Amino acid sequence: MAKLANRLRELREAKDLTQAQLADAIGVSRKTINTVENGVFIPSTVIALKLAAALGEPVERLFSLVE
Amino acid sequence: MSQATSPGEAAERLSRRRARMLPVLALFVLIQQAAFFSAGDRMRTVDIVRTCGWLVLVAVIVAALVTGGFWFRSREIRDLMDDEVTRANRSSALTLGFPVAMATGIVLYGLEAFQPGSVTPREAIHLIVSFGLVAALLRFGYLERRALG
Repeated sequence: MAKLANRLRELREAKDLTQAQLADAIGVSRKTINTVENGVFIPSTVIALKLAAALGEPVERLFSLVE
Repeated sequence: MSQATSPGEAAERLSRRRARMLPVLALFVLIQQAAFFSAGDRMRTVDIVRTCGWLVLVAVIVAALVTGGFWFRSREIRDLMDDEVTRANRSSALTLGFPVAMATGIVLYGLEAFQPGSVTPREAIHLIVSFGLVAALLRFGYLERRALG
């Protein structure tokens, strides 16, 4: 079964943002950012698009499927 | 002088407090359960008061578990405390609590079939509610603590 990988931590750190700052930017809790980065939680499409927009990256650069 | 905190910081602080409180509440329910069984299923005035106390406690905990609690905080903070991850964690907790309650009911039904009168209806209700609730509280607490990192 395919799994969802993400580069959220890498891209967030490249923008010099903390988890709390990114969370504030898209109106979610820091817990959401932490769980997505750790692969514990798969976000909804809405959150994924907000994350991509906040980081200025296309969503497919943020998330990808791995076999 | 207290420093003003952003809604995000307040939600984080309260979420951590909630995650710490959940296992404590589970323990509290179990202590109430032990007190009920140690006193026996009687209906003296003191037992009626104790049973009413348990009913109120359980109703408040279930309401807090289902809604997220912190009802007197602002809508913004409560929304941050009830975001996607929290709703997923709560759903997982309730998904565990329901079968635990059902399994408890099935075991008690089986017990009643083989040893009639071994458990009174009030004791059975107590056990079903408490086991289901404690399972959900512990699961929610564990998932929230893991999510908070």
